[in-house]
Amino acid sequence: MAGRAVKNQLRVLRAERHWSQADLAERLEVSRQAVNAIETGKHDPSLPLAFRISRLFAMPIEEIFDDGS
Amino acid sequence: MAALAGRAFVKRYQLYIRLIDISFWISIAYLVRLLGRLTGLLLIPLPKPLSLIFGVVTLINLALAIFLVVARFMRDEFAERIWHQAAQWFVYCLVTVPMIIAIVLLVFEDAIRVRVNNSWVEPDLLEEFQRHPDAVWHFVGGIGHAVIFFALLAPAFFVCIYKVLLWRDGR
Repeated sequence: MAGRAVKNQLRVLRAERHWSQADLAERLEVSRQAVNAIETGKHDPSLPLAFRISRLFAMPIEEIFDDGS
Repeated sequence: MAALAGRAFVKRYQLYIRLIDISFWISIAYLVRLLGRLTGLLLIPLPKPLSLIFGVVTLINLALAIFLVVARFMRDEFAERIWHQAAQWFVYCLVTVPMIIAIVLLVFEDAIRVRVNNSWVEPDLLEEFQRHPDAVWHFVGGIGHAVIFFALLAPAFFVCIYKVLLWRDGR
């Protein structure tokens, strides 16, 4: 389980709302580079950020992030 | 109100990344010029006003690089993770690069010359080697100078490592 990349739906959810990465970054209070890194799977968000993402899209965390288990 | 606060946070984080970019390119320019002067490859000196400006910019960049290392408040969680990775690589370099420099200078002491004021001279590091008759002190003294040399470049070096990691993970 440790070290496995976590996939996410962030790019799809963002595109559905016609938001740019900068728009999403502003809503999540992080940098655009952070959003890009999460979307490309190079960075897993912290729990507080994951919860903010969940609340922003009104979806459970498990539906946005998939660790492949 | 919350939206304004969010925008302020993001502006700060984006500013940090912009400052990393600026410091990176100034550091690269300085390192290239330093290497060029030491190896004699860049024999054309800068005109006095430009040389002065370059010197001032380099000093300001040193302060900027130090600020970027310690400015936790300007980093979001992603930038902070990159910082920790950069710090890890920096420690690897800190314990290996001075030793490598000292060993190279010791092994090739007869061959190495650097360009100073239009003439080729032995690097100062070698003088420390030659000051003590005992071989162990040769080596220890050389390492000390190499560490000091590396320490002066450390902030710029950290920024360069940070930029490379940011480029790798932030594209």
